[in-house]
Amino acid sequence: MKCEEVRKRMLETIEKGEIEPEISLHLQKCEGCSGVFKEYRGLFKLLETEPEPSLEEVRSPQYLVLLRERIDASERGWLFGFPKPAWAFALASVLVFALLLFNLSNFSSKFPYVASYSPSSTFEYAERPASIYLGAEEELAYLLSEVEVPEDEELPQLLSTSETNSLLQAEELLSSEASLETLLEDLSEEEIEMLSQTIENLMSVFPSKENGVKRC
Amino acid sequence: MLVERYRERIYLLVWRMVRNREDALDLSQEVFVKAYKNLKSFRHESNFYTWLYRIAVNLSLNFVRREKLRSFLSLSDLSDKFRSDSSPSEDIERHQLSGLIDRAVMKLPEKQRAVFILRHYEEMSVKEVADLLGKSEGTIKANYYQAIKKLRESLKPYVEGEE
Repeated sequence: MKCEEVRKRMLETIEKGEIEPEISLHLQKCEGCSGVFKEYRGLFKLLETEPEPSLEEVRSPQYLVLLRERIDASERGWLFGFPKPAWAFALASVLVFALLLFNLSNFSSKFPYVASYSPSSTFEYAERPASIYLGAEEELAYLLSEVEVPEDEELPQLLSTSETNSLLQAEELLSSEASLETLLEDLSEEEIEMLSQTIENLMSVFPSKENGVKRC
Repeated sequence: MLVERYRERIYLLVWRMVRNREDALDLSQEVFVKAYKNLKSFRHESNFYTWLYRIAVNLSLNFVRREKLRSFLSLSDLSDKFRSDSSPSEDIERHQLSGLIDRAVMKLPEKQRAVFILRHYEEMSVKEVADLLGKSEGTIKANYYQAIKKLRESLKPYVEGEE
């Protein structure tokens, strides 16, 4: 039996609690696999000693009281906070209008490279991923697609440790299967804007996918 | 009442995902609120507990992703709150085992973390985890293997090799 095969079956073996004869034979002969096997067993032993979190608060009657309140609140919904639902719709319309005005007036100062872009044809315009009509989330998606994270070994030369960690986290986030919509679900407009700003700053340090050169 | 029956198990699952008491209390309640609101969509294709678990895992994963994004915004390391400057032997002496495991688990990518928790703590089979997360059994096995490998590396100084 080869080392690769034995290592693949190690976790299964530990979970079963029985070592198959052919694996046992290999472990007796192979020092490397035997060491890894011992480490895995040690890890599971360590995990077994982990204390369970306290359940006191979950068991308390207060937990159920709070839950009841939350369920009631969710049943009422925000529309019921208004004397008349029509007022809510009126307020929503005003907010949407205000937001549109705000976006249009601030757009050129926030994203000058997009606002200054003037397409010469409809086709060229369609090719440009960010257009003047984009909202914060779409703008962020565009910025994220523009960032190319350099190889790990290059990072320490460019950034501090905390910045490197943050960037690696961002890279992991971007490579995860989560949609941008899910990720941004609960972020406020302000937080999204801050993120856009951070990424925009990073773009000035790292190479762009478009031209492959560093923007300094 | 269903809440009384499942609250502890759901809290434990969520706590293992987020490793924080307050967030776990809040999220576990959110699970029941969401379940209550969507009770009509429960199709009895799976048992109620599996359905509840799916809600808990999805909410926890979303929470973890948002926290990562927030952490990115503030340019601070997510694992900072679990960081300790003491040496391995001092940590053990101070009975900080829980903190050590918290840190190691928090370092796992969220999918691997979910798979590890469901397999290891909830003792679910590969097939059950695959059904719950909507992934293939091969993917779950690979995620679990990677998670254990990373935990082994993170906790190496504290793992005693057996003789």
